[in-house]
Amino acid sequence: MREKSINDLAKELELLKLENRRLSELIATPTVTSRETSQETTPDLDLPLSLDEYKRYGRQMIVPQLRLNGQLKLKSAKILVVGAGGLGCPALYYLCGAGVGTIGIVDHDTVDISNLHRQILHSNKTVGMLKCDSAQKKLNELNPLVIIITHPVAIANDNVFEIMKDYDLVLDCTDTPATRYLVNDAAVILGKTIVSGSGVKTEGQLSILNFSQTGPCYRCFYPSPPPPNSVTACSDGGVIGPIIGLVGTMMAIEAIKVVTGSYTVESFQPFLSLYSGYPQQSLRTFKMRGKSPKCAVCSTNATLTRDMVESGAIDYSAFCGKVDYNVVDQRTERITVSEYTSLETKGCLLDVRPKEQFEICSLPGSVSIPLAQLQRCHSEDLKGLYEPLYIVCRYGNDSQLAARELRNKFGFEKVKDLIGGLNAWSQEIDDTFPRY
Amino acid sequence: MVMADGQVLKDLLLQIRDTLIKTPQDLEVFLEGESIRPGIIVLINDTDWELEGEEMYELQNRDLITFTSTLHGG
Repeated sequence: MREKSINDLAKELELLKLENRRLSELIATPTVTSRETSQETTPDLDLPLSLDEYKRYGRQMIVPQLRLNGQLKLKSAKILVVGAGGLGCPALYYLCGAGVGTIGIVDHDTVDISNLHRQILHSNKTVGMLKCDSAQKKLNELNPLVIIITHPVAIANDNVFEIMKDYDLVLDCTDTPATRYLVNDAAVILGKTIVSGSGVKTEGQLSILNFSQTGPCYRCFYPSPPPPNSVTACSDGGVIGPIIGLVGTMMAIEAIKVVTGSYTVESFQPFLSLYSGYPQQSLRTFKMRGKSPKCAVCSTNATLTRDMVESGAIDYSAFCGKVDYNVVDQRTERITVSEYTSLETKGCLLDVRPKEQFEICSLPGSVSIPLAQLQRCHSEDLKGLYEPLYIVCRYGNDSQLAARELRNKFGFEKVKDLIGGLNAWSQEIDDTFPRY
Repeated sequence: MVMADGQVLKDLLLQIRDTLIKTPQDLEVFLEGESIRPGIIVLINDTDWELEGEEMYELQNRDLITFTSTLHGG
């Protein structure tokens, strides 16, 4: 109890500091607001918004679907955005611009230059900064009327409830199944609606989960996690910036609709929208199942509780699993990049990255057979390979899977793979070799 | 795909397995045992197959069956 109250005080202090900064900035910003206020507002006119707010939000308030009433609901709303990446950035930007009263951001990560093509709140100047801070800076510039609360921590079993409890709505802008189950479970247990988005490569998905505690949740849709080898992250599979940006933007639209009461318990229909950027852009919206009577977290037969999450009894990483890359003998069947460079006989160097990556950069003389192709080919397709055979990929994971394949299925014996892959090559051997 | 009269979605899954899928690697991204593997969403004319009877749904002429993967990136 004692710890909690200190925690609460610290939060309150942070809120007050933010409020203070916001007000100081308002005073420091030269505007005509004060003059207008004194001249044009009669003391009797009890306006629910400031004159600055009427101007700022006028363009959306005159839209019949939103109106003044919707604006007031936005102003009193508290929205938590989990993840300030490709989805979170545009969602945050539009929600802040729209005048959501309080916005929380959870992200423990720092800005990397490889984020910038899609994570539009961050910039060259904020590389290395916490994404929370970088985002907050940009959002304060956009709209100083919005209170931004940052949670620069990795969302986890032991902090998710504390972080989430004071918000009305949660946007799941995370990037792994394990985190998605965690965010879902906490939001369901706390009775919060989730706007959920995701995407990779050229496609994205959008849904509303646990709507008003009557709609289906993530576990209703996906009671079992996908096999780990079927999960692709943006860092591995790649992503076109505006595609994930569109999904984040659509999430902001759904958040505005939820907050302003566009959906009711009676009218809400569970859905999943699928956006495809290629070949022709399309958005298909599917009618989805309702709440599952067997759901482990949101049904009347639920077995999953807050205690089980907080105590760590629910292990989300173990539940979702991960691909085991360590399939070769780490001591005898692998070689470091510097050992490879000092070899007298370099043998045959096989690069198993996808074609698109091989095309970006490759080591001179290396042969390209992507892992996916290797797993599907016949021995006559491998006639060009000879021993000793060295295998390289981007980080030294797929190369192990390839080495095992070549040894077990095709009978190669003198096979080793390069530890750390081309990333290690660039760091340790040749810093002019691109890392992407 | 051409199917005989009275066949159900399960028959379609098996027909895809037997006629379209060439390698074990491609099979395991589609089926787990004889059922759809977790992480694949099945839609019958843009409606979640769970609302239509799942594997026992009786196929109709010109039905559009969609298989799509759940995405996780963000």
